[in-house]
Amino acid sequence: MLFNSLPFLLFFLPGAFAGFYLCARLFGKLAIGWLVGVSLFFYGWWNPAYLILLCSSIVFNYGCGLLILRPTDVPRESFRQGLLVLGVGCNLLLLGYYKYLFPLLHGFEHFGFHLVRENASVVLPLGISFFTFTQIGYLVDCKAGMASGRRFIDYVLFVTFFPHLIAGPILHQREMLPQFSREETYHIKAANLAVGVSIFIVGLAKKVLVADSFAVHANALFTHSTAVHSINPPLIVAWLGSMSFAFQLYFDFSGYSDMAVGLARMFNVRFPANFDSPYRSTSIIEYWQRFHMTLTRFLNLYLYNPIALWITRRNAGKSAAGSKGTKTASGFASMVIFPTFFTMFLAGIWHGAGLQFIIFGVLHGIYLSINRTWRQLFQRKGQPEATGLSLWFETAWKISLTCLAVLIADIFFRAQSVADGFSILRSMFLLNGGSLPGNITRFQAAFAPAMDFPFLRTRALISLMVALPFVWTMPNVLQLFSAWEPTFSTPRSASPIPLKWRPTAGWAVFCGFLVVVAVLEIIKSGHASPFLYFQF
Amino acid sequence: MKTYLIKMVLAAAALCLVHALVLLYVRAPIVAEYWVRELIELKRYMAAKVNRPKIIVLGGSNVLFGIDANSIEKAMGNPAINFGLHGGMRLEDLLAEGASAAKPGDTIVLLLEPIFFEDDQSTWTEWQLVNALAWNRSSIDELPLRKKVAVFFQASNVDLSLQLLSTALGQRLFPGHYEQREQTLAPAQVIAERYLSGKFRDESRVYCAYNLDDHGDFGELKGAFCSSSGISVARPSHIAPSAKVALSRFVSLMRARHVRVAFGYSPYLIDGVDTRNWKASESVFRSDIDEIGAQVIEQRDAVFFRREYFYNGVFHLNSEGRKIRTERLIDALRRIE
Repeated sequence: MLFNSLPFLLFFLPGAFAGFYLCARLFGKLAIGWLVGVSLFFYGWWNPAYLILLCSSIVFNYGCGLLILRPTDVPRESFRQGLLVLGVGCNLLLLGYYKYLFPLLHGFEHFGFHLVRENASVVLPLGISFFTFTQIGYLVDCKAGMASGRRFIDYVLFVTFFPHLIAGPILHQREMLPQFSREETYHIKAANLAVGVSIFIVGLAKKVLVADSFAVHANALFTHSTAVHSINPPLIVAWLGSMSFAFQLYFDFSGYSDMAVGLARMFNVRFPANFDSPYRSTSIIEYWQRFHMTLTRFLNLYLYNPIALWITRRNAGKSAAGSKGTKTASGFASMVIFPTFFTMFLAGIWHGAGLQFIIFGVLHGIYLSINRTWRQLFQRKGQPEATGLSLWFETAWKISLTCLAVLIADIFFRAQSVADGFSILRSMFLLNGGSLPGNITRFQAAFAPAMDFPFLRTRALISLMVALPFVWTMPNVLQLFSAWEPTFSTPRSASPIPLKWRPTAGWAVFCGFLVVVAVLEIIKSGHASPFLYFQF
Repeated sequence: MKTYLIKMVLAAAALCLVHALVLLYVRAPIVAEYWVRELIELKRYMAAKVNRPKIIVLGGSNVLFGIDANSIEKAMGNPAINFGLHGGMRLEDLLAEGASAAKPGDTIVLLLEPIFFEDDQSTWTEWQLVNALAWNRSSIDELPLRKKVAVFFQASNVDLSLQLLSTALGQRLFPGHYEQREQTLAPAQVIAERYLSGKFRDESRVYCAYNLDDHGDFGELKGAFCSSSGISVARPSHIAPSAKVALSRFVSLMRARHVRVAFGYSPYLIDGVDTRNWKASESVFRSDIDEIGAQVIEQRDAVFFRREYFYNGVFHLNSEGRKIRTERLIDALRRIE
């Protein structure tokens, strides 16, 4: 079930909400059982058969966690370590089977090895990447003593609570479960409901009204590329299409994250922030601190840091030079560049099974490495800070460069193949044989139904011209609702336009209008379009 | 906070009410495909002119682009009309046009795009609502109030209300700007006169009703500009219940009026499409058409075409494609004679 689908909005959410507080009134904290039930129903709506997979994964990980946590002298450290390796390994195997096995086997066909039937594949279970990562994090936390043993029902709720089940945020047990231990969680709070509903509506509008509009223009470019036809996209179409996708991704994920935060808040629960205006970042490092923040946190905690730590220890043990840390070129390369590159390489693979996703990850690995090198070499403490106009230009330049780098990587995130990705890139930078204006009419006529009429191309341009200043100046949900602490974290910076949500008539009317427009749009389109991070 | 939530609900309800009222009562020439209205009037005019038993090839734009009625007429010895209209129309309306054009002894060949067989005919699309509001208001006015409101909320968003309001305002302030749209709403006779005068032809545009010849055919369509992926050759398969009802009713009505009805296919773009699985779905489709009381006169693979035969969309053949497609239809028609 999708947050932006009519069954969810009209039946599931009101039912889940009313049922929870009714159960809470009747049975107190046993209402957790209701939430678990509706969350499993929410998951099973897509395909009930995969409930078995989800439940098996939960039982297995809970069991592993219990064994790791057993506070006796019997299980030795190596036993706990072994259990952790087994648990994490099984989770990765599960993910590997569903996400990568068949694409990999089909990949061998390029080399003449036909290992599986031509159309053999397996349906990717909904949210498998997210619930697997959540549980891997739990196991590691158990081993590190940062998770506590809980009742099974609590653990199931932690993994399946529907606002985060499908596409995150990736949570820690310690972030969510204590909130369900509090008595006040089980009473309707008008303030939380008003804030949660308003945040949810803002997110819904971002997804339905903005992201899905950009999708039309992005799809025109990415679904009709060189694989289907030999026409290279012309310069303007390549730029408009790829920028449209960048904004689709932005508003899609921002919308999803807002909806998740809003939904949780309706149940008196707060989530960590997952999105904080990444296109305002002045560097790629900052970009990853603002985009998919809980994934970045997960990668840092469970991948980057352990690798960097292991290398540091290894280097320190090897020689005296090693103890100089990142001050030497080789130390910097091994302790910073290698973990960065490796982490982003795996992040790329996590995003999908295809060479284009590896390129996406590698590009970000390169960007981050350059960024870190730059900081290491050229950023000195005590340097005079730019002020006034020069600060404005410096910031604008940094943001533009970051956005361009992200835009280029995003092409591979969306392209159907590496060849398509490079074809679009060549067109963007006039390397496709100089088809600047010549192909436009031909391409325009060809691109049905989205880009083939000039007014739609103009619409794409106008949408981008509106979206750019919007994402750079308007407050995001963290800033808009900052007085109500929508998430655990505070926004990284203040918004240039200091707009704040308040429970006033004006905001009530605005949100009321927004929800009508969004719902009518869903009805009109006849279906709820999936999120980009759906079925991940 | 409770007041805030109540106000929000009230605001949402108020907006719904205003939206429905605007769609019900405001009339203005909003942006729409007015040329389709002219197209319908001209096709009616062309069909009415013919007094002998004729062949009417009825369908969406695949017929408009892909059929040469002149060639059919020459080959079959009977007058033929290209009654290709628009694939976005409601099936009911399309069939009504065919029914009103047919006379006893005529043959109607239905070459419908797969979507006509698959969509729930009780719901309206945005295209249908917008065009009905723009140039076919009577189709809305005829509906009972409950159905009207259902259609408004099914097929439109608040932007349509805003468009109606702003166009109504714009029409008062700058009437000249909307003249062209209003001209297309002229009586049928006026549209026919414009067509006969030849002054309204516009070769620079493909989508101009006045460019048709006297059989309803488009002129030359040179080039192959379609890069979209073709639809599955397994479509159509089972006919949706509401579409089946509409088609059955049409076939019975035509039979009562001694009009023969036959079915064919819209063209398939097969580049990059798996073409192996069409036979099973065709047999399902054929048996559904049998139940309706009509027959399918051609095999689906007779209308499989390569990309070079498509003009600017997956249903729109260019001149070369049209020539081949028409020849194949003629063969099929000869077989049932």
